[in-house]
Amino acid sequence: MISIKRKTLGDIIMDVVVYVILTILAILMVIPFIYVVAASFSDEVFMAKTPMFLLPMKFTGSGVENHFSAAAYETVFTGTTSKQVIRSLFVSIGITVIGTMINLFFTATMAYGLSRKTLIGKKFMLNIVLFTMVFGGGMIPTFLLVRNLGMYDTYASLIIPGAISAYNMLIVRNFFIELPQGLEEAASIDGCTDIGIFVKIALPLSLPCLATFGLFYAVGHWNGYMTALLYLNDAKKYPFQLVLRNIITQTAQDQIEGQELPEETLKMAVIVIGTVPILCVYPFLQKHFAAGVMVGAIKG
Amino acid sequence: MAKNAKAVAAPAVQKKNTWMQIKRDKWMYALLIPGVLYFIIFHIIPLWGIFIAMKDYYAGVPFFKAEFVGFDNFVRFFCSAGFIRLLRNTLIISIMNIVFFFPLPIILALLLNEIKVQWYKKALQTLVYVPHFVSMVVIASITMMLLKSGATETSSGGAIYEMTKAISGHGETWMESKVAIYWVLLVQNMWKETGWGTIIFLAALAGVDVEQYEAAIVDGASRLQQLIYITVPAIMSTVVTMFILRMGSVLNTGFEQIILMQNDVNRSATETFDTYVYNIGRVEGNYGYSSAVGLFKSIVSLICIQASNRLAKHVGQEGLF
Amino acid sequence: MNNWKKIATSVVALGVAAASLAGCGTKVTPIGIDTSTPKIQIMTAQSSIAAADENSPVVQAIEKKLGEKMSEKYGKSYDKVDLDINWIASASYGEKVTAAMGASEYPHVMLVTTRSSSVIQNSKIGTFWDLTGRFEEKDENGELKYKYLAEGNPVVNKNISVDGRLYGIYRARAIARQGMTYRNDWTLKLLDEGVLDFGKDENGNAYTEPQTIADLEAMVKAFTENDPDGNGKKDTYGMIITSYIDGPVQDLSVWCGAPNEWGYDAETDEWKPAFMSEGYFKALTLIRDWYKKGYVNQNMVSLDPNKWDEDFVNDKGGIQIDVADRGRRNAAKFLDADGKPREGVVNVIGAVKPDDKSDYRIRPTTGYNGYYVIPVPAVPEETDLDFILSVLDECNSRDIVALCNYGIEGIHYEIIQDGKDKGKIKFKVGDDGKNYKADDYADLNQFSMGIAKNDLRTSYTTSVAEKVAEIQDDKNAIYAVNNPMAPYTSKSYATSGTMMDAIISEARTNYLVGKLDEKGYKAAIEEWKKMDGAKVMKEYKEAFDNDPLNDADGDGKADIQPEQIFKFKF
Repeated sequence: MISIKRKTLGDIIMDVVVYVILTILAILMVIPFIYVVAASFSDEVFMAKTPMFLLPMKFTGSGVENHFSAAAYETVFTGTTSKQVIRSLFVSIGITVIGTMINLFFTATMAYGLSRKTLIGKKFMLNIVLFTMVFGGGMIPTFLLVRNLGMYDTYASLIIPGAISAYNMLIVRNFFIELPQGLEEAASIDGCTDIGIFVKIALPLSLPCLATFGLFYAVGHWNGYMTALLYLNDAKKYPFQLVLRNIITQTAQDQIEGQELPEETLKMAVIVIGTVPILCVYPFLQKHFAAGVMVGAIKG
Repeated sequence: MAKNAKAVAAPAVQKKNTWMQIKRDKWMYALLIPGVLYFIIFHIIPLWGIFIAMKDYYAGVPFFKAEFVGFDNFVRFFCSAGFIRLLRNTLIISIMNIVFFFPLPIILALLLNEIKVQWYKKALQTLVYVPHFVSMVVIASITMMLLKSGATETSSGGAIYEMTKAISGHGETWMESKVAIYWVLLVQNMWKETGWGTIIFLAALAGVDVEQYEAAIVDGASRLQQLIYITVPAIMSTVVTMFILRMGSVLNTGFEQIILMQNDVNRSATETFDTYVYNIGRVEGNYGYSSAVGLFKSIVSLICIQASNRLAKHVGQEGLF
Repeated sequence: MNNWKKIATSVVALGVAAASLAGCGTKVTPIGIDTSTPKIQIMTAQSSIAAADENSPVVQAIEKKLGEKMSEKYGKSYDKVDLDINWIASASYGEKVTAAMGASEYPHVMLVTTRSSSVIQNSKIGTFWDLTGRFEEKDENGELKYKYLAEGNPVVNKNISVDGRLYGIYRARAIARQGMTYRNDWTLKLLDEGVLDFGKDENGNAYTEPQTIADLEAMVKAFTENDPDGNGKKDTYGMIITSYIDGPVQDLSVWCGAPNEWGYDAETDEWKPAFMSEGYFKALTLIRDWYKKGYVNQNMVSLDPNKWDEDFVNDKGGIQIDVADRGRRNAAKFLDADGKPREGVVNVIGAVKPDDKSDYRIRPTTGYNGYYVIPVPAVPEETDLDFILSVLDECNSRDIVALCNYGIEGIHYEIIQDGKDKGKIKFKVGDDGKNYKADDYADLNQFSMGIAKNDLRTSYTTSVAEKVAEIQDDKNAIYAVNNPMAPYTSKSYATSGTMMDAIISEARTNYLVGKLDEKGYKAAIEEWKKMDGAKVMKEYKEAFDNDPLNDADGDGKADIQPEQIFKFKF
């Protein structure tokens, strides 16, 4: 080891600058979210009149005071929108859980299958996958296909057509390739079939990697609304993001028709409900991000 | 790998060997079935859709009833008012992103790398990654809330609107301006993806040999010098690769982002190839024409990606393929 | 090995079979006119955040009522007619209609809000029932089969037609919806002072409302320069215009004599868009002039339309040109000390004359906001179609319209028993100050068509509101300058419309704020023509000429109404 050198003045200045810039940047990036959370617990009148605040407040006779009210959440879950909100939350949870499991199954099996270097036909299959990454038939033929498969207006249409992300699959495949060969050989000598090796050795070893990609897929399902907008006809089947969009896009234009606008705090509460679940999960998987993405991004 | 090393050269036995190999790998093929079926059904079969581009085909009209028009859709597209406008909008949005957004994750990664207190670094990372995980619907609505213009007795404008008003004296209607909307899209993209974009560069930074730094410290190099002479060159190859690949997808603009930020006033400035295909196809139902536009874009994109990939390999980097 | 092969082949075979066989043809859900509870699937647009669903007492009342009516009409005993309404958010409604068509998965009744190319194509190939002449059919007793639908306005029915055929039942909207809202108190004061003079009517009485464009010009000027609020300060201005410039410009241009959207140029035998007309250019020049002189708010290019009323209710701006409803809403914002609306502050007018010699003109709406089509794949049988039409017909009856618009009498509203508003409807108000249990009938007024006339009126708090109702009661419709191209679409416009409109709207804005002169504006028109404009003009002309409805005299040539002629060439 080299003895720790005393910091020069330049180094200290640089440290200060770096810390300050980064801290400000990080705060700037999350301030809008803090504002949304604060607004959702705030008083309607206060929210409407104040462009930015970080703690829930309300106006009193003389000034402002802290104010914490879950009224907006209460309205979301008991008011006129409650039925569609609750229903769509269940839909979204279901699609996210089942969809992610299907994604992982399809992705892992194919990635493992393609991870054997000497497999006959591997190159051909890989080329097909790479080709489809950059060239596709387009939105409309896929739509017609989904319809012909009888999936229109079913939840399957939100899950099956996107069962594998080619990019994710290739990265997982690289992960499998990097696995130590010795273990597999030992297992195969013990009489394990390839499927046995896959289930008993490869999968457990790649759990962190799969969890990371599981999160990516889950985020996609939870946040997605475009496919639902395209494939779901029955408004009662809508996932949460679509309901959220419908609630927050109620604009003054509709006001002309004489409708009541939803309260702003209610919109904020809906946004929070739609965002929090994912934000609760991801920090736990964060440490795997770099590893997972790196392997894939700088691949051969 | 060892058991596959018995590749035999003699052609007579090769065929038999091939069969042996396939038979030996049968369970691997079994694992491949779901994935391969998926790619055949959902990525290969839809390729017939190329023919849609050659028909005058609308949603709900039976395919065989639609008139075959050859390349008429393409010709109409190139000759229309739309083409130049779409190209212009797409390039403006894309090039602004390359010029202003692309360097940000690199800078942020370099800064993060300078933080030696691990828990703080981790905390910062957690914070800057947040916007990436929030849905575009939410990002768009928060953006619109911050930009909301005008004020009445009962409501104020958005935070950014009020801020610019305080500074410049007049409030900018961001969403309705055909120039300001480009900056809105750019900054929104920076907000959402800068943090996440650092990952690949942080990974590259993690691979830098620690000994180099130690040697530099011995030589009395300052932190800034270490940054300039060791760190930056070390990730330069990643930067070049990423830049070339980004150039390859110059026609791709954030589709979901733009669709959500588009309104009737700014549409003529924000309509890009992707949103146009969506609006003409999914909304208007003119399947033939929109497929033609989509196909045109796909082919140009394919050429761009191939070219950039070649270029990446040419300058000694590993490409995407 | 054999096992594996079998599995593989069967999986592949299954996949291929699924891809090729499944989903051919639409699955038809019968309405069940032979059962006691027929069920009609309806897809329509939702504009509030939660529309009334099947548990709403109002919806149940409607279903029961329809059951009674159908029992009577068909001599069967129906418990109710189940309305299975699929509410789709209005923001993405057009897209969902296209998706339904693309998938050929139709409800029994589908609202169409935009006449997209695919809607037009599907009408032409017979995806929707052709309803031409059906509403006039009579039963064996000589009674009209669908008496309410038969009341449909022929102009509106033409507006929703495709190639002269009718494919839908429209959701009626006021034809004379536009109006000019202005400060009545200011005007009266200036009339008193002799600053303004609107002339006299045939009986020699002085007009108190502006009649001509010249009156309007005088008002805008006097509102700015002659201290209409009498506070001794020059702190008012004439007209409030927002970034939604298009609206005021279109109304003003029609008042100035421009055609509505399209006019016929007899000299070149061409149909031309209104922005090529002299009347339109005159309207632009007026606003440009006002803007330069400060008679119009200087932030008009950037003012958010949501803030349109701000300067009006704060005694700064005096005139707004928009829907007449704005007058009603704004009149309620001027309160006296007791918190009651002050009378006489605001007035609304609907029609204006280009000059003394001409007749009044108004820019009408198309008279509809979407229309219901009945897809043949979902309703293949004539008997089912007849039943659906009967149900939709009865939805226009007085009692069901009342249910849709106001809820249940006694619960959601009551009828005023005496006073000047006798017989009118008054909403009940809940503890929160809002309409009582409005969720029970939320958006049902969006489902309702309102084709037939009825005597249902709500009571208003101000006289301006009465005036607005009067203007919108189609009394002014005789002055309507109809858009002759409303029924037609153009292929080129459908694909390039956004881009083309941008050329004109940019040029227009620049002209208004003085960045562009007359030559520049003309150049923009030429650019528009060169882009796809010439094609669009040609396509519209073809569509017009090919429509049999335009050839009343049967000479094989489309007839052109005099008011459609492009009198003012640009």
